[in-house]
Amino acid sequence: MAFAAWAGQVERPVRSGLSRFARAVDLEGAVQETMLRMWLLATRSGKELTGENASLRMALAVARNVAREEVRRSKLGSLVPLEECESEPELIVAPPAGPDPGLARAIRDCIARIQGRPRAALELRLHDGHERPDRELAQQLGLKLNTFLQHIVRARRSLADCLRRKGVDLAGVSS
Amino acid sequence: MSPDAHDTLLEAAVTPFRERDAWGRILPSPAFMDLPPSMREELAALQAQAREVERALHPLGWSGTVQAVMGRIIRG
Repeated sequence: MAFAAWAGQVERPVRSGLSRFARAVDLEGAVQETMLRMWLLATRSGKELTGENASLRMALAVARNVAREEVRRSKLGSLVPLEECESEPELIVAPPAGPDPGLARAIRDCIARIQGRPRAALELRLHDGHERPDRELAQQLGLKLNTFLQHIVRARRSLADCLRRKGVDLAGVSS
Repeated sequence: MSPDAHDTLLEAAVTPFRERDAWGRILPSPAFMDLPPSMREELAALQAQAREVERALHPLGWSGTVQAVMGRIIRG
């Protein structure tokens, strides 16, 4: 549980730190791989991290290595010149301040306004999307994969429109 | 490409679910590999927004990324 709390704190800075690799690297996969390597580091290496923001700085370094490995493996170096990435200053984005009950309430209210299959598709993805592939979720709802994805797209548009009317811009929340 | 087709293509890679290879390394989404580089930056922004929604709704404040990682750790 303590590791999960830590992971929640560093997720946003790590994701932002990887943004320069976005044209060549699937950032979702890279962030997850970074967290798993940090778990191994914390539980198996016996290495003690010292200094201000030591674990965050280590996570950013691990994330850069994960991204570089992926660029080399996929041979997409032409999309992300690694030499330029090395020389760019590190982007440090503040971790989330903590739970935001107002945001949660607004999102729940907006999802409740979405009708029919789009809502069912979005709710299932939100609930199980971390552990089950979309083709399984689609099957559960009796939908073809592409139809399932179209329903989520519609639901996300409705959610974003509803939140905007409430003065919430998700792009602003995540940056 | 129509706006619907464009958004559907992106949505396929927004999910936090990722397969692993035989050595346990997390693999990129197959849908990511189908995207042109110009759309991949857009995808990164959409992934970040989706994670914020998940984080806000989860009782412990875990995004889909953290839920996926904790699932891997707990299941081994």
